[in-house]
Order: sequence, then C-alpha cells, then structure tokens
Amino acid sequence: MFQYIIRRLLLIIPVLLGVLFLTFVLMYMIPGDPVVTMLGQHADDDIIERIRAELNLDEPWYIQFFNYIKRTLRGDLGRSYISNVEVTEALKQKLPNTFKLASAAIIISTIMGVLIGIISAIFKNTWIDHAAMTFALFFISTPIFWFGMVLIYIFSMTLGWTPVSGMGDGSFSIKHIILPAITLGSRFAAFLARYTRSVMLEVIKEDYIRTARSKGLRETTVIFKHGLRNVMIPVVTVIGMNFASLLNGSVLTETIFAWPGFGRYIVTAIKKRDFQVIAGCVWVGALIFVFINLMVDIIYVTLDPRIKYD
Amino acid sequence: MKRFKIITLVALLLIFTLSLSAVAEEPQYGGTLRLSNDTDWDTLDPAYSSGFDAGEMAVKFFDGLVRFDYHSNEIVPALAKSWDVEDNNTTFTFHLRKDVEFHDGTELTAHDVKYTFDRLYDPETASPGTWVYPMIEGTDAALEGESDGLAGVEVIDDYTVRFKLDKSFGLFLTHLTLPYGLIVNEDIVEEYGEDFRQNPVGTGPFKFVEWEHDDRLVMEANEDYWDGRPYVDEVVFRVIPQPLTDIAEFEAGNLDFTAVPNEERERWVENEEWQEYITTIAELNTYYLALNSDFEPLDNKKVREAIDYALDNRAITSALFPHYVPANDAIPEGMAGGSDLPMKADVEKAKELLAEAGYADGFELELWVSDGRTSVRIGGVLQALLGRVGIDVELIKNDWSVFYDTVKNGNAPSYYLSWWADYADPYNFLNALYISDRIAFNNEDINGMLEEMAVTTDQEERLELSREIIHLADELGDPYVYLYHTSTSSIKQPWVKGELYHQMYSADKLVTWWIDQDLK
Repeated sequence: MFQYIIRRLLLIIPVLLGVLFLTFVLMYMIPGDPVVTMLGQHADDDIIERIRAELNLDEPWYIQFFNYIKRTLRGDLGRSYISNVEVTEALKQKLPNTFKLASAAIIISTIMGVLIGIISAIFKNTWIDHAAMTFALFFISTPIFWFGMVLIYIFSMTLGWTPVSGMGDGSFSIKHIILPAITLGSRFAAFLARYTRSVMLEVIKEDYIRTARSKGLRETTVIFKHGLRNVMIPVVTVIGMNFASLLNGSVLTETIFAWPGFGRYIVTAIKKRDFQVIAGCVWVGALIFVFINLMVDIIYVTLDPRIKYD
Repeated sequence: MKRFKIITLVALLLIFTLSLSAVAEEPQYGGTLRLSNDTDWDTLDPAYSSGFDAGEMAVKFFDGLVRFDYHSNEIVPALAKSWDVEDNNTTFTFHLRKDVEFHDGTELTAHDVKYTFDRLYDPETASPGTWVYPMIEGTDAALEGESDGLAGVEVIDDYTVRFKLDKSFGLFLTHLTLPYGLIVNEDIVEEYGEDFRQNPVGTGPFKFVEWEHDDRLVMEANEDYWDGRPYVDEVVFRVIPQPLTDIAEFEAGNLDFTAVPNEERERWVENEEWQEYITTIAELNTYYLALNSDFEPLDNKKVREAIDYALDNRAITSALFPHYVPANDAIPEGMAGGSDLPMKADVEKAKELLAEAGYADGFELELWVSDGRTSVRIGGVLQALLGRVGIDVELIKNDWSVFYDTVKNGNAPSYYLSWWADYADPYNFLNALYISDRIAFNNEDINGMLEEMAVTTDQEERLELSREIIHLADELGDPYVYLYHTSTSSIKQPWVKGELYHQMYSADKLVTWWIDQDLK
C-alpha cells in the first residue's frame, strides 16, 4: 500500500507537467493580450511593448514555459499581471473559501442523494420511487443560476432566514453557507440519488443479500449493513470525482452569492488573459484533482477488503 | 374664538414639524455606509488607474491639485488653493495648501507634486496614463529615459510648483482632475514598493483599512482631512458581481445605495414607494457601429451613408433599452457641444444610396461584437436591419480580449463598441473617435479642428468647433453610426442623504454623504 501511494505521488509530476504544458500552448493559441486588457483603451504602444518585455511576454512560449516551471518548483507562482497581487497569496485566501463551500455542498448532496436513492430502490416502482425520481429529474434539469435566485427570493427576501449573499466576517457561518451549498450541491444530489438507486437495485439482487435475508436479519440491517457498504464502493468514486469538480467549477454559485472563491478568480483571470493567475490556478486545480483521486483509491481499500494495490 | 385656537394650534404644530424636519436636514456625523461594486478593483495606485473602477476608488484615498465640484462639472481648488496662468496658457503656477498631511502624518509639499508626475513618466513605472499629460515639457525625454524627471514640473518652494507646457492646452486643468494626477508621496510609495497598489496612503478623505480581494474593501474617515472630515465614520464596499443579487441585498436593507439593474428598472422606477429615492442620470458615453474604410465597400461614402439610413436608432433604442437616449451624434445628452443633426431612418433612401454606389444587390459585411449579452443582442438587431437593405451581415462574436485586439489593430471591417468619457468635454469624445487607427478615417480638416479644440481655452469656441467637426464628419459620410447613449438609475435608502450623483466617475469622494440616524 505504501509503495502504491509513493508510486501514485510520483505519477503526479508528469501529470502536472502535462497539464501545464497544455495550458501554456492553449493560452498561446488563443488571441488576446493581457497587457492591452490591463492598460485600457488609451495606452501608449511603447508602454505596451515595455510592459510586455517586463513580463517576459515577448519571449517564445517554450522559454516562458521553462521559466515558469523553474519558478513554480521554487514555490513562486508569480504575481497577477493585472492586480500585481501574488498568486500564492490570492490562492491562500480563495481556496479555503471554495473548500468550505464545496465541502458543505458535497455533505448535503451526499446525505440527500444516497438517502433518496436507497429509499427509491427499496420502494421501487411505488409512488415514493416515482416522486423521488421526478424530483431528481427536476433538479438535474434546473439551471443553477435560476435555482440560486429562487432560493434567495424564498429564504432571504421572503422569510428572512438567511443572508442574501457573501461570507459574513469570513469565519464559518452556517447561515451564509447554506444557500450556496444547496445551490451548488443540488444537481449532484439529484444525480447521486439516481445513481445510488440503480446501484442499490443491482446490489439487492446479489446472493449475499438473499443469504442475509434468509438468516432472518431485519430488513434495515440487510439494507444498511450489507447493502449500503457494497453500494458505497462505486458511489464513493462518484463523490470523489465530483468533489474535485465542485472545488474547480463553482463559478456560477460563487457569482450568484458573491462568494470570493477559486472559481470566480480563475474565470476573471481567463477573461483578462492573466496568464500568471491562470497557470497558477490550473496547477493547483490539477493537484487537487490528482490528490482527491488518490484519496478515493485509498478509501476503496477500507470499504472493500478484496481490493489490494500491492 | 375656539376656531381661532384650533387654527393657531395647527399652525404651531406645523411650524414645529417643519422646524424638526429642518433640524433633521442638518448633516449628521457617524455611521457606516454600505456600498457595492460589481467587480474587484485592479489597483488602488493612481498611476495605474486605467479603469473606471480603479479611478473611482483612488479619489477616496488621494487628492489632486484640483477636482470637480461635487455639484457640477466645474473645476475647483483641491490641494492647490490657487493658481496663476501665464504665457498664453503654457505656464501654470500652483500654490499649495499648507495644512495638508498624508495619512501617515507626512506633510504635503511641492516635492510630492513633482514626484507624482515624474513617477508617471518614469519608464520604470510603465503607467498606462502617459497619454494624459504629454503637453508637459520633457515627457518624451523622460519616457525615453533620457532625463531624470520632467523638465516641465519645477518646485519653486515647498508650497509652490510650476508646470510648463510645450504648447497651450485649453483642458490642462480638466486633465488634472483625472485619477492619474492624484498626488502620492515618494517615501510612502517606496516603503510599500510592489504592494503600494494595495495600500493606498494619500491625503484623501478616507484612510484605507482592509481589502479582501473579490469580497470587500473597507475605509475609515480621515479625521484630519484638510477639507473637514467626511460625515460617515466608515465605508464598506462589497464586491457583488451579479446585479440581481446586488439589488436583492439592497431590498433586504443590507446596502445603502446601489444601481438598479437594467432588467429590474421598470419594477423599481415605476414603484411609487421608491420613486423619490431613485435618480436617473445620463451617462457620458456613446454607443456606435464603426465602419472601417480600409475594407471595401466601406471606403465608399455612399455605402456608409446607406448603412446610417438603414438603421433606425429610435426604433432600436425604444425596443431594446427604453430608458436610453437615441443618438444623433457622438455627444451625449446633458453635455454641451452636440449638434442638431437629424436622426436618419429611411430604408428606401438606404437602398437608393446603395444602388448609386453600385451595390444594388447588397454585399457581405463582417460585424464584430464582443460576447457581452448587450453586444450580442445589438449585433443581432443590426444584422436584421441591414439585411432589409440587402447587406448580408456575418456576426463575429468573441470574448472581449480577442474582440478588442482585433478592433485595436484595425482588423475588424465593422464593429459595435462604445466610448466612455474621461471628462465632460466634447474634445474627449471627438479626439478619441476621429483620430484612431481602428477605422482608417483620417481627415486633415477634422484633425486641424481637433488641434484647435485642444489649444483654445475659450469654451464657446471649443463647442462651436465640436459642432463643426460633427457636421463635417456627417458630410464626409461618418465612419460611425451613433446608436444611443446610456443612462443609469441609482437607488438609495431613505436614510442616505447628501450630494450623491455626479456624471464624472472621478468626482465623488463620498464626503457629502451622510446617514440620517433618525430614519434608520
């Protein structure tokens, strides 16, 4: 197991290099100039050239790529071309915010999704199952933007239970996080409900469930002890992958709820062609993906003793 | 008698109530003002404040030599208490106030003024604002690195500084109101180094407290402000990117003042309860379709005229933006210097002109728009309207960066864009529009008149020249079809008082705003 983890950690290096290489090439192919965006409509051409040179943007892409890798290995992600803020500093501020939001979203959606999925499977083809799946279909098809605004209207504006937007004073506040977390997690909860239902229906047909039932165990013990554990193996993979996506892709929710997170940061950077920020975000985003995948693989072992990596 | 008593009582009550409300209108000190912005600020360093957001914020922390009056577009003294103009408007001597301190306690002197302008033209600074003061002597040499500082800015004594210009420039004082001219101190700039952009320490009415990027920016009243401390103790700006969330925050009472989103304008403006708290002002801009003569057949005057006739500005504006003003020329409503040109809208005339130009069957035209929602909507409308006269428009939609790069380099045959004024003078519009590499329209007469506009200090003469330029451009087949000017509606909570609205983004220092604690 230990060797496996070391091997997987080493594999991260080529993956990250590959991702960065692709990002650099793509940024080069897309037209648009960060310096022009930064200086506005009036800027003098000489000044544009000077800044371009200062930021080494006049160098060929492979030199820039090489310099970037060299600096990154020293732990320096550079400064934003636009705001001059160190990318590392900005990430230190924004990543925890997105982490809080994505964690809350994944917790809510996992509890809701798995529970609804299991109930649907148990009550297969009854009105409970139909109602749950119709609900799930509704949330899968609902645009996040609309759903977020409806939540604000009901819970903040009409009932006054939650703040409209923002993070409050920056500490963890359930009142502030609940609406964005539900908005961000709704679609995944719906997907997870459908997925858990179909996996559960397969599991229920297995021999060990029949055996458990024939031993005279209570139905709840059969479902939650023998069934759920086996359902969780594929479900954990899906949760892991989605957690990584939520960490990287919560831009809409962050925009609706004025949540100062990673998603908004990277999208603004892309719009302004702020290469330094884009590269830093992609680097960190890829790292998160790889690590969460590794965590998922490790969790497998504890869930299923038949899986051995050595 | 009894009746007389009642009347007296009512009259007394009335006088009492009136006197109470008069007392209540006395500005009150204290409280926190809660405002918002839809985007984070790129910088708070005046030398880099190329965007409206950055400039609007910089004026809260810094002061210039002069500023716009809070109630009008007039220029009034700020750090300079007076000035002498000599040598046919080429020498400006400013006498500074003696009671001004930076937020760290350093006294303001003429050396700070010189440093500010030297820094702006130091190639190391690489400021985007070098276009603002090229008339000061020695800017070229400084930018080339051939001189240490600007020859044209001279410290006479600690409280007197002299600016010498290469040639007379009628709008020099106006240019000094721009955020690039806000005065900074050398020691403070050097102490913060790279981080000065995030730690503004100036002489302004507010002191910087904290800035959580993409979340909030907080400032507190400068108790020792030379012009009297601001009424409010603190201002908290929140970054709320989504306008509908922003107005929801206002509705929930968490913001004191905000802009009404366009899609919500009808609901708010027509709501009787809020009407007295809403103010609509014309904005200093012009939205247009540009026609680049480098591309055939747009080099043909008649074709450009035909396009102008094919587009009915009034219909476009009333259908898409009922609160905006259709444009007949570049100059927005509420600003002097505009013309009496009629709005052209005649499809048959457009077809005739195309036939005369040899394009009776129309032609294909690339129209570039950015991917903003409004741009795409307008692009679609222009495409449909031009289609009616046989012009087959191919709409090319790109994100801002790609779009602007193409337009800037003159590679877009036609494009939809806008000009937002740096200050309220027609020169700022006409100069930016007609002397441009983007449209290949280079008319000597217009260029000459623009030069005259720049030199003259006679406001009437400048306005007359503005009207002449607009008419001449029209006769030559204007390379721009002006579509509309925008307006904005702002809404405030009943407890917010003061002079809250100014057309110029860099005019409001928030010093007139106050909170009526009795209403809150």
